[in-house]
Amino acid sequence: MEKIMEVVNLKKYFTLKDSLFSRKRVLRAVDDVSFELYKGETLGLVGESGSGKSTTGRTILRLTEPTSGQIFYHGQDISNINGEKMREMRKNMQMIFQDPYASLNPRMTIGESILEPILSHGLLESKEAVNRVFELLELVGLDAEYYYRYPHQFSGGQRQRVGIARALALKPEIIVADEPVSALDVSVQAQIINLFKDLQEKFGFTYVFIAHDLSVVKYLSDRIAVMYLGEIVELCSKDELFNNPLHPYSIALMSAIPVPNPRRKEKRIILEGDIPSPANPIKGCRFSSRCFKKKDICSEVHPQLIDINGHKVRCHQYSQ
Amino acid sequence: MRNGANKLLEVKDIVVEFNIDNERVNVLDRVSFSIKEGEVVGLVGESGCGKSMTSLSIMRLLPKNSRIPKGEILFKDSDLLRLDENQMASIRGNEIAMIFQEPMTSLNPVYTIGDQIAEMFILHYKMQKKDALDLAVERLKQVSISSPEKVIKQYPHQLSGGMRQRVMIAMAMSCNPKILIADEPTTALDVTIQAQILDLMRRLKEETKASILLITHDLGVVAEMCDYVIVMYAGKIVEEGDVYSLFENPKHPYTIGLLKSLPSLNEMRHRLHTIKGTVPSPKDYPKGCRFSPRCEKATSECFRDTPPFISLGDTHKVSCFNVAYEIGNSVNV
Repeated sequence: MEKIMEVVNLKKYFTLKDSLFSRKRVLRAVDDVSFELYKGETLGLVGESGSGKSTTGRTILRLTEPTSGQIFYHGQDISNINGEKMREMRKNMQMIFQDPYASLNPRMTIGESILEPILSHGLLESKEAVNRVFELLELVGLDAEYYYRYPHQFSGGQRQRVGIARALALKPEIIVADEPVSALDVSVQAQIINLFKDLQEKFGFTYVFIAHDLSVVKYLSDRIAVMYLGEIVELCSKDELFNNPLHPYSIALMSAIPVPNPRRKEKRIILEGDIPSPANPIKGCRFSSRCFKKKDICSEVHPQLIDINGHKVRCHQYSQ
Repeated sequence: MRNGANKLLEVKDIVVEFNIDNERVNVLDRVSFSIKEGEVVGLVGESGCGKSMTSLSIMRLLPKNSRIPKGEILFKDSDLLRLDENQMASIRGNEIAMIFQEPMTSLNPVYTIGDQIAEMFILHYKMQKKDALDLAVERLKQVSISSPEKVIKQYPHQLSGGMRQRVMIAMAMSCNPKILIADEPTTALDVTIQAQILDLMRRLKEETKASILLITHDLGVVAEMCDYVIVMYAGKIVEEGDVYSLFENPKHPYTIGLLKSLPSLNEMRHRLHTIKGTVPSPKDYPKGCRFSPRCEKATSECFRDTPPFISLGDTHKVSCFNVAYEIGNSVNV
């Protein structure tokens, strides 16, 4: 498969200042993250709050500037390009957010909102562009008359369809979707998930799908990266992850999901304690404070991401 | 569990209306159910189905522009809807306690955790401040907070979401209520923290024998926690039953649709099942069965009349014309 993006040692640190005189603290939101993205696949990024999954998504699109590391798009390093070049590049990569309401201008009709990027990138003449918007509305399952309506007249599911139409407007190659269905009700969530699948089959988009809900991620992804406190702790194909999870965090995360089956018998693994703040670095393995398989080495030495037949995991258990 | 145990609380035919722009809008329509001793009852449905309004009616905490023109809520031989504010205040927090989705909004940001828990004991048990604080430490231990002496001196913003929910549970359980109403208690939490909180709620239920009314949109949480489940849609109960009947033999097209539209961890389907359309807003509730515009099996009758509530055995009830005909019941509305 064709590799369309490669992310190498990506870091994004934020500096925190509690007060004028206190020492600066560094929040390592994304810490040394590397992965590849292949054409037409869906890479799922899962993790809990503070795992850095959203920051990773934003940083690979340069919506947040990386602290260090490289992002290669078709072999070209885009981590430092600026101005017109970046603008040109952006056409190929679009983002869909959890709450599209926040990204839609309340004073513009839906049609105008979708039209704007097409015109500002000069893709089409205005008349053709309007036709393209109608095409897009149909594609995402919205009536043509919605062109003239305003964002507040839409339900959550419809707004997410608008968000998707807008992302598709520039015919991107990569779409990063950040928790696109987590604010939606179950029955509507299913509609949007199906839409994501249909569009990928039709146009061959490459998705980076960011979510905290493993069952949604499993449904859509080909490969899954599990993140914890700014790092990838496990990265492998979806089937590998669900049939043979290696990292104790992945195992606990899967075990914690409530299953709609009242006869479920498996004993749940309940992790102790809270997710530590990414601003208070932990010595050794970052998961060691909550790990149920912790050994002495874990609180001393930071484990590397090792590759076991294509299944990557960051845990001392597997490093011999 | 369902048979035998005594009814602790009974909601009978309650109707709730809102006054919106001088127009009466019905948000709950003849809702009836009961909670038995030691039972966990789940109230499920999507946004706007009326599940939170049901719990707020029980607590008598409905917004000012609403009223309950019909129905009764029986608890310990009295109708909660007819108690005066003083009588209600002695039940609220004491015998029926409630926790919410976002504990930050129900904790007071300018008082320490200790002060807020102690207040309950001072109020309901007339305790001295010092004894109340000692008891607060005790109660925080009960919800597995590791250094309670430190936590009672902290303010809500200094705690994580999971810790805040533990504090809320400690407060809610502090007067040994008979019923705990938990409105989406884990929705704002991460999965691994959710697992901790659900585990805690289960443990406390065993220890205190309290009944729980669990309100959630998450069918996984329901399957895991509940003995009895009530499914609501557009302000009405559409189906209810013991947890096994409901998950293994759902009858209402809405319940069936909801269960089918969940992406599953165990099996792979090519496409997810969807329910067409969206939940209507209370102003636009349709005539007849409120689910009829979204139902694939709807007949002309469904659009016209309200379906009857029919029993399928002791612990399973459904409100649907098609099911009624299937089992050969005569339909009397």
